[in-house]
Amino acid sequence: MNKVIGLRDVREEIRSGDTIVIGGGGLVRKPMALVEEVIRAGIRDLTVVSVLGGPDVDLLLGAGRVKKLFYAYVGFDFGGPGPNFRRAREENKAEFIEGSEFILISALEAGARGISFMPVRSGLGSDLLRVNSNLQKFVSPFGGEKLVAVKAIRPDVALLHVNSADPTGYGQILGDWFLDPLCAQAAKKTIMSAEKIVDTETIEQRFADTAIVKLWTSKVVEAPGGAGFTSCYPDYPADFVRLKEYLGHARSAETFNAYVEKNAAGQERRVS
Amino acid sequence: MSEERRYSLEDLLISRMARELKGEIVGGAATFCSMAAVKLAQLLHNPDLIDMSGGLHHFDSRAPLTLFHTEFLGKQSAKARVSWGELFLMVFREKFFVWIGPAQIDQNGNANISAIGPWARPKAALVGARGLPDDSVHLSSMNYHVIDHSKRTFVPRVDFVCAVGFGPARESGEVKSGRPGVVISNLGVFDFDEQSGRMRLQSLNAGVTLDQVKENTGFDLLLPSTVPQTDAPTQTEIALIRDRIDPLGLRFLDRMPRPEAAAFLDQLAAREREMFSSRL
Repeated sequence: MNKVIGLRDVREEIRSGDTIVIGGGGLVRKPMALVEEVIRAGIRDLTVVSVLGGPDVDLLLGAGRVKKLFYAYVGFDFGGPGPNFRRAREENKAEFIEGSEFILISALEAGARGISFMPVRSGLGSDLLRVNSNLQKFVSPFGGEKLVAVKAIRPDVALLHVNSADPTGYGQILGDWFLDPLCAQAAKKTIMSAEKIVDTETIEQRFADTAIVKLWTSKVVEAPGGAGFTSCYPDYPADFVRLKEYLGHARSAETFNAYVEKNAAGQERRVS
Repeated sequence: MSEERRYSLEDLLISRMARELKGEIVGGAATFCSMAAVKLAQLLHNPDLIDMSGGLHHFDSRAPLTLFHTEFLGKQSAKARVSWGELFLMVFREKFFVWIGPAQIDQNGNANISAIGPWARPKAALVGARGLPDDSVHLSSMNYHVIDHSKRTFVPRVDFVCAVGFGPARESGEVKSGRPGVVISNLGVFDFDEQSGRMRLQSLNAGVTLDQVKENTGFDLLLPSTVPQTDAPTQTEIALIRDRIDPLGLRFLDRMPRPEAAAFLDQLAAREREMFSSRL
């Protein structure tokens, strides 16, 4: 089966109002080309799920496309909290549902397994239980231990960026896989961009690097430099000049609008 | 200047933090000084320690501190590729130690990295709870590096509990693991009295007075009858930090003022490109 589509065709795969989960972590291997295409296509009212959000989540928030955000972290590593995330939180521009890393992982695992919740210890004693109604304390039927039930999340679409993929949908990641396999397993469909599309024989030569099995993959997009200014080991490290440009524009909503216009919303800029 | 003061505050913090990393465990860190501390402990005191700073694809690798190339330098010395699922099992089985950089910590050891002010409409939104609600109910202890000791960071009660300190949740037995351990700041080293659950001064950093600590702390600390000074770093430690662990000087970024940090980062990006581009 050939699953290759062009970047512009991604807009046919996602609808306004969908729940999307995004792979990578912080400033590492974020699917920026896919996220920019979502913005360019005018898709809005998204529910976004991100264990470790970075410029992906921050850009979507800054472009006003997020209705609801499930997250444990949205930051630029040494650069602190995402500036648009920070503004959106302080001005209450979306619905924010905060968990911990393992709480988000558990919600996706429950979604992947098709059960309504996962039991965890994470969150006990913390204020997360006060602000997140998707977390409910309960007593274990085995021995009376207090635990937290984490409500399942079943995303419509997973957006991932990998080093290489073949047309059938095998995706190889040479750096940290983060939670990309789980994102693909939990979502109803996965759209995967790759630095390059290779033939299946090339996948076979280093099969231990396959992070995404083709069964989870719906569409594959070739997008060299698709992680934007985030890093994509071993292809490139984070681009500090472009990162600084982003942070400079993100200082205010007005200047960020200009950035979105230039880098994401500009019609047909990156269409092949 | 006397002999024992020929070191930076960063050297002192790194040396002191490194001593807490004991046994065959994974060391994690959220500040530059504590990242250096994991590397120092591994080199000097604890060869069994696993440094995870190279990423889970280069697990248990050795490399100096870098900002833009941490994923790149561990390839020759990595021992395994580890999944995030296994990483959390390491947390759950108490095989993990982490130095956290909280925005607020209180007298009972609750810590906050989520929001200043009301959570629903924060005065300042921070990064989010991240792994703190996981760590603080699973690890054997929670340890903190507070970069800027002030009444804004050492508060009577945190605005949002990400990591659970001493109090009702522990008294009721609901939370058993992850009690507050050591807190280190630019002014001193602190721990907790298990009986009262209150923060206690352990030692003062060189050149810091007790009054200075009191003036910059938003609550009353428990005080020992005599207050010792934090151990000075050794010449061996200072040399290892400077030459092998952090030749690029990332440790100074923790408390570098913004304009200076911006210039430093520009230079660092260029230097790292020069040093490592051949290895990419």
